[in-house]
Amino acid sequence: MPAFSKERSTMQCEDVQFVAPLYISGELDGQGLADVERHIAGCASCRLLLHQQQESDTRIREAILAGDLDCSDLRMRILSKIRTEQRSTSPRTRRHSYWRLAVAASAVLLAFAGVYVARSESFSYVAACYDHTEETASSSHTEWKTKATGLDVYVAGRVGSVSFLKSLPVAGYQLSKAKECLVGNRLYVHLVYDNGTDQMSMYVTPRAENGLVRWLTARSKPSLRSRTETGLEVTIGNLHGERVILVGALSAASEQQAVNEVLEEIVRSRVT
Amino acid sequence: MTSDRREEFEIVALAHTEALMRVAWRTTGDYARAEDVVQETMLSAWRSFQQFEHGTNCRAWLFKIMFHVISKAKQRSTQLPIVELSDGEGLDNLVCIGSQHIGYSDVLASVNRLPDDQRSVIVLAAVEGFSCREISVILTIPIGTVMSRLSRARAELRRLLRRVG
Repeated sequence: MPAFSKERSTMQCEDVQFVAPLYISGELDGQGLADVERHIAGCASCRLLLHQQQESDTRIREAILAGDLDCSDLRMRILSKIRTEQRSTSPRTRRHSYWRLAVAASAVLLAFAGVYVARSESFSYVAACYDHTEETASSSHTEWKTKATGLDVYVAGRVGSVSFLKSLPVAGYQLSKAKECLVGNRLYVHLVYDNGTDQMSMYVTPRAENGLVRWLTARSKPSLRSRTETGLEVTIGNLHGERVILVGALSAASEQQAVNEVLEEIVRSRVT
Repeated sequence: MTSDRREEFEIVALAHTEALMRVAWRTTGDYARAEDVVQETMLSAWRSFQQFEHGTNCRAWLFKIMFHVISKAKQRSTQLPIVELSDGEGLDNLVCIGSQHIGYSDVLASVNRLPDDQRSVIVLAAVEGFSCREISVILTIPIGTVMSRLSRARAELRRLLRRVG
């Protein structure tokens, strides 16, 4: 702390001006504060000076705080970059294999029989697309059912049986969480498998739902369509005034084979 | 685990985005540049969030990072432009200094005319309410320097606003 005269009788105007910033910020206490207050009680010019400085601060604060400052977009951009960093650095998310597996599983399972549950018409494809984007593309999972919240009962209630899903023949993967997602007025069940390092998604849907992909591609007025190095096709477009992101791909042959094996197992289980 | 950490970061750190943006804008004089500064600040904070001591002053920690980012940016680009900020100046935006009526835009223009070192300390003190001691930590300068810059900034502002009035 800077030195200044602490003698009651020797505090001069220049001492007060020197410690004025500490006085205004409330950092003066004890003897220092008592000395300043004693001085300004008898010194009109110092009293005015401090008053003007406090008033000046008030004006600056009012003027700067008066302007609207909407940082919601900036905050979203920051969060997006953080998620990207998390995905690229976290051992949980070996990004490419996760994506390839997830999309491959998704693409193939969409074409096969699964579960059909009727739902109200109030949800749109756009909502489903957002839902999918939030759940997979952004990895911001919400409202998942986990083992702690009755996963088995939840899945069994929607898929009819949980045993064949639990015994998914991808070595080391266990069903870790599940969530219902909506496609139009239909539900599909999003199942996430975990091997302790990677996650893999499966979508159990009504049959012939690959029509959804065609539907979205045809209507979403794509503004960007690109293919990633891992073979992902990413389409970003606009649907009914809302931004949609559609991810679809054909996977590498080896992954396709793995997914096919999974499907065969599921089909066998259903048949038996 | 990482999701929890991100959620905690959102609550503890991202909540200060507006405050950082306010100061960055005034300090750099350019909104787009301020956004870049705040984004870089937040990402830097995120990368070292594990080292952040919970229960300590996160806001001051973020501002310290931000001024480090600004300092580095200044080294890269030797001169930061000072621009006139187009804030509203209707009758509703008048403030009173003594017997003079001065618009917010005049106050902001006067703040923008301050030297960089004075502008930073006055905004941190007057707008964000940091103490001299906290400002000295944020800007990594002695507290005596903070005090003298504050005094000079207040005197200069007074002078500039008197000319406007």
